[in-house]
Order: sequence, then C-alpha cells, then structure tokens
Amino acid sequence: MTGDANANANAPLLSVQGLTLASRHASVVDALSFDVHPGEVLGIVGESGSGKTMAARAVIGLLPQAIRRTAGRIVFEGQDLAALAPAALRRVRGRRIGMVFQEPMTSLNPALTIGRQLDEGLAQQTTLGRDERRERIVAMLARIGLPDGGARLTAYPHEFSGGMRQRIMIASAMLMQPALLIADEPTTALDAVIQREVAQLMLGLTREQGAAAIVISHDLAMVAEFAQRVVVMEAGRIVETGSSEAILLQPRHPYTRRLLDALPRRAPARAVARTPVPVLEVRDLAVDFPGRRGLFRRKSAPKQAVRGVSLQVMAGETVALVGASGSGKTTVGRAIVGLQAASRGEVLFQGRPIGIRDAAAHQAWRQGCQMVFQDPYGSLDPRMRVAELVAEALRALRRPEAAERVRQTLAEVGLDPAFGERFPHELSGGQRQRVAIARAIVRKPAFVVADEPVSALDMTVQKQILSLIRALQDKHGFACLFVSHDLGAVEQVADRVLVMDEGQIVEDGARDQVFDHARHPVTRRLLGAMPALQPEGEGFRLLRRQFAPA
Amino acid sequence: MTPPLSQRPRAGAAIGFALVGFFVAAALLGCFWTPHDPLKINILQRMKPPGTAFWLGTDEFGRDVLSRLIAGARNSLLIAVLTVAGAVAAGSLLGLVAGYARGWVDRLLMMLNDALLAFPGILLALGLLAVLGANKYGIVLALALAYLPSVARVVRGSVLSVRAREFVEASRILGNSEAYTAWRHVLPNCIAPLTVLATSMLGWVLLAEGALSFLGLGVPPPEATWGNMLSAARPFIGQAAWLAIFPGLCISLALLGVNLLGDALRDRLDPRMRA
Repeated sequence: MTGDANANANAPLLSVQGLTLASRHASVVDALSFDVHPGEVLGIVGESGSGKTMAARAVIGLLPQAIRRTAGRIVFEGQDLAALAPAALRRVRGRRIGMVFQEPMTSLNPALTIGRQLDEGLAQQTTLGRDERRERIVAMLARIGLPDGGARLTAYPHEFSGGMRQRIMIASAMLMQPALLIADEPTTALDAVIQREVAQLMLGLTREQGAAAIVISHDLAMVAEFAQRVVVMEAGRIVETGSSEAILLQPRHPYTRRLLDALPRRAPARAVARTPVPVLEVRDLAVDFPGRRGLFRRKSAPKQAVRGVSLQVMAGETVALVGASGSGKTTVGRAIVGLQAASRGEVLFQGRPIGIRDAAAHQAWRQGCQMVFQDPYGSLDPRMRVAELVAEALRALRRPEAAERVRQTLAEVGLDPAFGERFPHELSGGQRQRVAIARAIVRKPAFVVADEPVSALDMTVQKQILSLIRALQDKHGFACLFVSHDLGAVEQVADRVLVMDEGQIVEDGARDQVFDHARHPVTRRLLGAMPALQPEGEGFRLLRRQFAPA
Repeated sequence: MTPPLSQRPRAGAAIGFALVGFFVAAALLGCFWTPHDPLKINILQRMKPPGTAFWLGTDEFGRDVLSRLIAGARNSLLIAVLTVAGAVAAGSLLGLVAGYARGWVDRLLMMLNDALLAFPGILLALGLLAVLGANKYGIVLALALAYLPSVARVVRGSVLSVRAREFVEASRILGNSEAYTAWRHVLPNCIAPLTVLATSMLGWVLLAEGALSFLGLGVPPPEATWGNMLSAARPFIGQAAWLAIFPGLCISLALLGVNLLGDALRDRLDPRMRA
C-alpha cells in the first residue's frame, strides 16, 4: 500500500487534483488542487461557505447526499480514493486517515462509554487482542491528560467537559495511527484557553506519530500558528497558498488581506466621562444554583456560580467581563437583565435598585436595559419576520411610528429595509446578529449586555459586528457590558476590563493596563491563549511558540 | 429512483387535498341527496352484492351501502373533526400552561393528566357516555376528553424544549408578559409535532367511534356512521365482505388524505420549509 510513497520520497501523501464539487444548484468547490506531504501540517482557511469543509469531507468520502463530485482526483498513498469501492474506502478512512469534527458535544455517542468508543476502531480495523487494545487505549488517555484512564474507560461522554471530549475525539482518531489527520474546526466550540491546549495536544500527537495533518478553520491566526503551509479559500476556490509566515507578513490576494485585517488589533482608547451616578451598578452580587435532589440521593451542595461581584458601568462606556467557561461571567450578565435571580446583592440601574418594589425604577430598567445573545440562530424566533422581531420591542408605539423606527434602526445596523420581510433562516449569521442588535437598540436603551456576541461568527464578520457596536455606541451613547472569553474581541471594543475566575472578579483595570501589565495569573493565562501574532507593517509577524508536551 | 411521496410535497399535498375535498363534498351532498334512502329497510334486497341497482351492495337490512356511506360521511367527519379540535384546543392549553409555568403547576396538571392517560381512553369514553347518554355531542365530548391527555403531553414536551431557547429569553428581556411570550413565541414553535398528532388522532377517532357503536354507545342506529357500519359488518364478513370493505376503505382513504394534507399544512406553516 505504501510502495509508491517509498519509491519516491518526494511524492505527496495526499494530492488533490482539480477537485470540483457541486450541489444541484451551484458549484461548491471549483477545481481545487493541493498536496499534503508526509508529516506536514497544512492549514485550510476560509469563511462559512468557502467550501473548505466539503473539500475535506470529499477526501474521506463523507459528502452529504446533495453534493456530488463532478471532477478531479484525490490521490492518497498512490491510489485514487474517488475510484475506490466503498468497502476499500472504509479501510482507508479511520485506519489511514483520521478525522476530528467541530462539535465535541455531538461527535461522541452519548449512549456508549468512552472505552467502547475508543475500542471500536481498533477492534474493527486491527488484529490486536483485547488486552493489547486496552493497553494502547490507556496509554493514549494518559497522553491526552487522563492519567487514571483505566478507571475512566467506563465513563460516558457527558461526564467530561467539552475540552476533554475533544481530546477524547483526538485520541480516538490518533489511536489508529493514521498517516493523515483531518481536523475540521477542531477548537472553535471551545473557550480560548482550552482551544490552545487542544490544538497543541493534537499537533503534538501528529508530530510524535509522524502523521500529516490538515487543519481547517476560519481562524487564520490559529491556523497560521500551527501549520507550515496555508491555503486560503474563498467561494470554493483557492485564492492564495504559501508558507504561514509569508501569508501573514506579505499577503498578496485582497481576500487574504481582508482576513488579516479582521485579526484583532487594539483600537485607540476612548475617553469616558465619569458621571456621578453609573448607568449600571452591581453590588456584592451572588448567585447560587441549587443542588439537585435525586430520588435516592441526598440533596447535593448548591453551586456558587457568582460569589460577591461588584461593578460599575458609566454612560457610554464598554466594560468587558472576561473569563474562561464556568467562571460565572455569563451568570452576572443574566442577573443584570433579570434572567437569573440573585441569591444576594443588588443591581442598580441609573442609581435605583431594579426590584419590583419600586415600580417606576423597574419599568425604567425593563425599557432601558437590553441584551444581545451569543447565538444569532437561537435568539430570533424562527417563525417571525425580521420587521416583526424588531417591532416587538416597540409594542407601546402605534404601528406607523413603530414601522418607521424599525426601518431607521435596520438602516443603522446596516440592513436594507427589504430585509424586514425576511425570516431569520434566510439570513447569514452576521445579518442575524445585526437583527438581534437592532432589536436591542431600537428602544434606545441606556445599557446593553452583549453575551459573546461575535463568537459564533466568521472573523471578518466579527470585525464588522464589533465596529458596528462601537459606532452605534458613539452615536447613541449606551453603555455596554461585553461578556466574552475572546480577548481578541475584547481588545477591540473594551474601555475597561474585568477578569472573572470562580465567581469572583480577580482583576479590574483600564484595557491597556490589563493587556500590557496583567497582574493576576488568570489574566496572564487568558492573555497567553491569544494568538502569538504581532502587528507589523501590512501584516503580522508570527511568534513561533514551542510545543510544550501536554 | 423516484423519491417517496413524503419527499414530494407538491404531489402529496395535491392527493391529500383531493381526497379530503372528495369526502367533504360527499358529506355535503349527503345533506341533500343520496341515491336511495339510507334508512329504508328492504328485507327482500338484503345482502345484495355490489351491482347495477345498488352500486356498493346492500346490508343485512337491505339498506343501500352507498347511500349510507354518503350519509355517514357527514356524521363521521363531523364527530372526528369536532373531537380532534376539542382535544387539541384544550390539550394544547393545558400542555402550554404546565410546560411554561413548570414547578408545582406543572406537577399538579401533569398528575391529573397522567391519571387520565393511565385510564384506557375507550373505557373513559364509555363511562362518560353512560352518564351523558349516547348522542353525537356526547361522543365528541367523551372522545375529546379521552384524547386530551396525549395532546397535553406532547405539547408540554415541546414547550419545555422551546421555552429554553434564547428567543424566549429575548422576549422576556423586552418586558413582554409571560402570557404573551407563551402565546406568541412558544406555542407557534410547537405546531409541528401537534399537526402530526392531530392528523393521526383523526384516524383513531373514526375507529373509536365505531368501537363505541359496537358496544351500543355510538351514534344510535339506524343513523349511519362509517364506524358503526364497519362494526355492524363484523358478523357478516364471511358472507358479505363488501359491508366491511367499503366503510373501511372510506376510513383509510380519508385518513390518508388527512395525513397528506396535515404534512403539507405543517410545511406550509413553517417559514423554513417554504421555498
């Protein structure tokens, strides 16, 4: 099987030649050609709809039914995969080519123990005995950071965190010792710190085994840091190929420049007037989640998600609340808008507590305090048109007035009035987030909570949405609590940064001070997870980090 | 390879529409005209097989089967539609309140609901009919009550999943009342499983009405319904198969039509399915 590769040391491991994929209506991938050499890490970068995922799926023969290969060859270890019979292709898939998907929550079977799932491939595709397989699995689990792997084999996927699940996925792919690993957005669903650890683990493993890897992502910074060569795709075509240094420092194609331009750069600091009364103040807020009471179990201890948080946000100011997942930052945001009851402490809006005892203050808070959610797919009712969605915030107004305001606001967020007639599923992710922003600002609120508003979006779209938020803020003067794990985004929009860990604020300061002179170890760890890129001239200089064994 | 019917919405909807339209037209026709008097007993013509005089034959009393089917269409469809409408309306409300409020309201309502659910529907209907007396509206009420718990269960389940979605929270942040949010955002997003349930329920009701007739608690004879014609045909199935075949065929085709129409309606109501 590897005869050809041995005969010619320079032969690529995988050679995709003129691959063309099409659905019934449109071309998906157009004459795509690239090579992957043994042991090489190739990055494929592109935004949603660029065809990068479909190209990868074509390599392992997992195209959705609606998409067909209309031309091209996929030569792997000297044989054309596209010409292989399904049974022969199955032997290559898994055994010689491993794959890691984006969603660790859904790519493991929740009904099977991880031991069963890790053993599945080995039992199917190798002739190893039971004990040998177990030995290999335990060794692999130790390698990915589960030292007591033998004991955890009977655990189910839900007992692991998202990051650990993704490590297990990687382990299951690498157990087969494939010659090529294809990773499709392997870290996108994880928070920044875990992202880096998982990426390092994955590429550390491929390097140890001498395997090649294709890393697919919309995140140019991440890909460039780990890949030797980068392929940039736009609308089904390759627009630029080169070493990652060259792409970052001297991008040639305008699209690559746009991608680079979307990488986080610090915006100049703004002056925020300190008013005597903050728009929003949180005093000693605590939120406990009650423990679960089982039928035969004693009630478990309550989980203290937020433990005594105090913060102030001035008019027109953007305060970023950052932290890893589980740090309690989202809970603080939800408590401020009233989606989460506080166990202790209070929230003051324009100097008055928001509780229902003061009806006028309660009303003012409801009117003047809005939220933009993370997931623009989930936060818009799929059965309502855009104009209805935005107009819902204006039920107090009469129809013609409301319609006029909706038109104005849609224009402000950069949407043509014609979008008013569309349903959410007819919009792109960025457009949906614009609608969500329009709904939040149409009442001209004094304060907006933005909970990870860009983390579900492509990089260039992230940039647009962040500048939109800033522009709207300059125009309307609302204050914003920007909840995020993504320090890149925070660096672009925040005036002040609060860092949370384990339910408490551990660092608080002006943005430049926190980014340049972080004191707390948690802040430093978060900062360390940012892409190692330094702006230089037109592009970025890559600071190559060492692969620390995990 | 041609895709199955379910993947050809246009064709399915057309067939469903045609079938339902056909039976509704027959039911309307039955109000004014039937080929023979559906109630007229003629012992000399009993159990005649389908032929030129009686197209679909005659029953054990010599009544014209075709006429009785036409007259029965009105009764059967009316009972089925009213029953399902009643069960869906009341069950949805119950499920919506329970699922949206959660907590003790949910526990209480679902406890009552489960008690009803644990009781065989037909037995419940029997008991109620014994009290209410056997007539069309008694049957509608009894069967609606018998089918209400499953609607409530299904609706509550979808409400629980929909209410956890972010657009529901978004509505609350806008200051919308809970009732408005439940009505405007939660219920419309529970319609898909409800249309599936409602259409299959129409079939159960058509059959249950027959079963009640069989026990003497259906629409009282001599009035015809498809269900009671089917039940009455049972003893004669060896000698006069047409007595069972034709009402059975009516029920099956009406069901097929309603199911196809229900699927089309569900897709039509979902903006995501509109091309």
